[in-house]
Amino acid sequence: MKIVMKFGGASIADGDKVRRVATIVRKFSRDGHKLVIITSAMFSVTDSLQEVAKEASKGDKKAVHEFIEAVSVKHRRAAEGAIMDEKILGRTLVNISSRCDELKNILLGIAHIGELTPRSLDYVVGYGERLSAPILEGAIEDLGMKSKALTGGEAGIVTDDRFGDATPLMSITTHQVRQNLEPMLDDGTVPVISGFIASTQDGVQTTLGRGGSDFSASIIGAGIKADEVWVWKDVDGLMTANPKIVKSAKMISEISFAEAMELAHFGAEVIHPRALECASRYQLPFRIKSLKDPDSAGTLIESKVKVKSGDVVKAITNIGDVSLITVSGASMVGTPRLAAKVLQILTDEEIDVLMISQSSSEESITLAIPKAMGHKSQNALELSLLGSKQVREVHAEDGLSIVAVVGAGMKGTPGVAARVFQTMAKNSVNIRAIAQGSSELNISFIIRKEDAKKAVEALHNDFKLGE
Amino acid sequence: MRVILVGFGVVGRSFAELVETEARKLDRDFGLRPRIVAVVDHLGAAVAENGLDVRKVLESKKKSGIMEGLGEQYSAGRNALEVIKDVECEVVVESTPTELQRGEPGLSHVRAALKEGRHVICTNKGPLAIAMPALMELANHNNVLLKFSGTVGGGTPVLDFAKKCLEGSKIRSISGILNGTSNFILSKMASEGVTMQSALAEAQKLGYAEADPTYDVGGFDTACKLVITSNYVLGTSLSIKDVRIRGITEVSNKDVEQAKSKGSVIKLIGKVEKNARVQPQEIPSTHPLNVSGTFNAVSFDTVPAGEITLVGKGAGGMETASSVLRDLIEIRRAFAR
Repeated sequence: MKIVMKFGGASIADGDKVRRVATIVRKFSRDGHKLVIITSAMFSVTDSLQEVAKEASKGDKKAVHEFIEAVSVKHRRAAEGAIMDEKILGRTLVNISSRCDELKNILLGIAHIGELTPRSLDYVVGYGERLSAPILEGAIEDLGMKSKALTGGEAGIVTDDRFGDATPLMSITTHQVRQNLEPMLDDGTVPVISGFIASTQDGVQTTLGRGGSDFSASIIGAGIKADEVWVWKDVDGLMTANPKIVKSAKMISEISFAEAMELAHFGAEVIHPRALECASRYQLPFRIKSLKDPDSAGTLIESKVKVKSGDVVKAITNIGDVSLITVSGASMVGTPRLAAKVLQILTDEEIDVLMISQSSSEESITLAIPKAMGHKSQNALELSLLGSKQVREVHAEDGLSIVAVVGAGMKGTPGVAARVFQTMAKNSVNIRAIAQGSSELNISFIIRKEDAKKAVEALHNDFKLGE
Repeated sequence: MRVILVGFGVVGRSFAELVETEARKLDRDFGLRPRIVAVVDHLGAAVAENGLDVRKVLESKKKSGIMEGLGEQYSAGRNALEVIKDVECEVVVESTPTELQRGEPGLSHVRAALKEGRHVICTNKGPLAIAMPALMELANHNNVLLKFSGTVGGGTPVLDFAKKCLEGSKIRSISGILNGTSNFILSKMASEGVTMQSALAEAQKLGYAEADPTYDVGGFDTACKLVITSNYVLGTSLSIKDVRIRGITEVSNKDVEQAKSKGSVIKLIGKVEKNARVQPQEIPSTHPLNVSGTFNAVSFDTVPAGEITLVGKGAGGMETASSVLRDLIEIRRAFAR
């Protein structure tokens, strides 16, 4: 099989872990698979690059020198821990120090000019992946395989020039990725590609924004027409519920892209929806594999929706702490632009709306917002809407939690909602607001935060997800 | 409008001639004054920022085979990628020979031109057969046009007929006789009973077939045209590697006779429906696709208009040059403001 494997920052956090990754690569390579590796930056490096770039732009050269010292030690140590062969190690260390020098010059340049454009920020934050890939390349070669580190741009990923959140030009990308990587795969080389970064058609470095490295894995997978994309995690796979809440939570062995995206949106932050969307479009089966147990099959996410009879619900998730904002007023009825206006105000403030519910009387709109944003939202809405005669009240309430029941089997199965709410009633959990999309993949509702654990456990039991 | 010609074979030269002879009409009817600012072939480049004297370039090329004799305007060994990057122009016409492994050097020429923000008219099928979706995306991203009317049907406007005149109809399948050489050979075999070898020899003598006829009789030319038509008209993302290709080399005189006795003919047909394939196929002699000689015919099976067939001369330098001119006029119109 042709497999794209992605390793996140935590899985290459130090030399030993890099070596463990290389061992996994060797194992599957020996099994006869053709592998392409996507790597993130080492744990926490991307965040600190962001910070140091900001400090540099304020002219702080001392911070730059300190940072370069720290980052170069961190990567040198990882290389020394991961690579035994003197020659390979020597070469890798030279590589690391020359990249650190480049980075230093760029950061000092930013400090001199005192300006940080989105374009230079992209160049700086991409160094996390540019530094980690050569170490992994060295570690793989150390175990006797051929390997080559490439940046996303070198691999062939071309994007538009929206720095910070670039979008790949998929047709030209897939064409180039195939041309660049296939000869390597044919001669047994394992390409190690820096995730998260790509380049414009003129070769200027861009970054893919949130979910970056997972997205890179999907893009490369589409390019080489991979049989599967494997994302390695410290968890077993996607679970029927958060195992910290529900003891009997089980790994889900198969799930559809649509269902997985619902889970990703609702707190089970395992894979970014953007990566899933891309994989789904190119019909790439996506697998979440466990670093602790590489032989376990993990969770397979694919296009086909498989619904076993009686198996209506796949998972119960919840977002712990949300605020509920209710915009109400008697004269809202039949004022069509108000809902749009409410959402626009929140978008302008960059506030993420988790759930919306509006009664058909149009008397009020209820929105669920992450708690950290709750008061900011209320304030923004009050400033814009009060006094407009349409709106009488903007009410905010904290201490709430969203519970989402997800599963493709709910579609067309009558009585699921009744069962959900009966279970809530039996456990005397009061429901504050409800939303169900017409896709019927997801029933979400809002309850008091204290009731969340009880509610998730009860639903998990009632739908027999632990069995 | 400033134009760079990359490739100066039959098509490139015919286009240069056409621009000369039609100059007045183009100016009067379309406000179009094409100025050829550079001509590049595999030996070197002639460049004049304010327009080359096309007559002189054509004469020089005809006399010596290379474009020396143009004095300072000519630099031997200057390559196309340099010229595309350095010489300012609005349109690049790419007409180097077709190559089907990697689509080169045409593919690099087209990409470089799109990246520089030049419109491109491509008569070379290679880059499109290999990477058409990628090139269309790149053109779109750079806000320029990529035109290629000359790749299918020569002067017969097959592509734009289907795209523009059939708008709103559902096209269920496209099938066509797209290679003049193969059709000439099969027609000769059927009408005169000659063997494939002697028909091929005659085609070569008449200049319809190359010394190495594999590209034509092996079905590859037909496959290229099928890929381009399908991608443009049906919006597919095919490359030539997705087409199942069988040429005419195994068609025997016995096959031809047998078909005849059933009132049928054997034709090399490219067809795209669910899959794309090229193969010799029997069709009734009354079928609209049954054209003889070097003619091309393309049939669109549409709903609700039924089967619509377009017939015309398939190849030839002047015919293809005329479609380059059509593309140029369209670019002028689209970017007139």
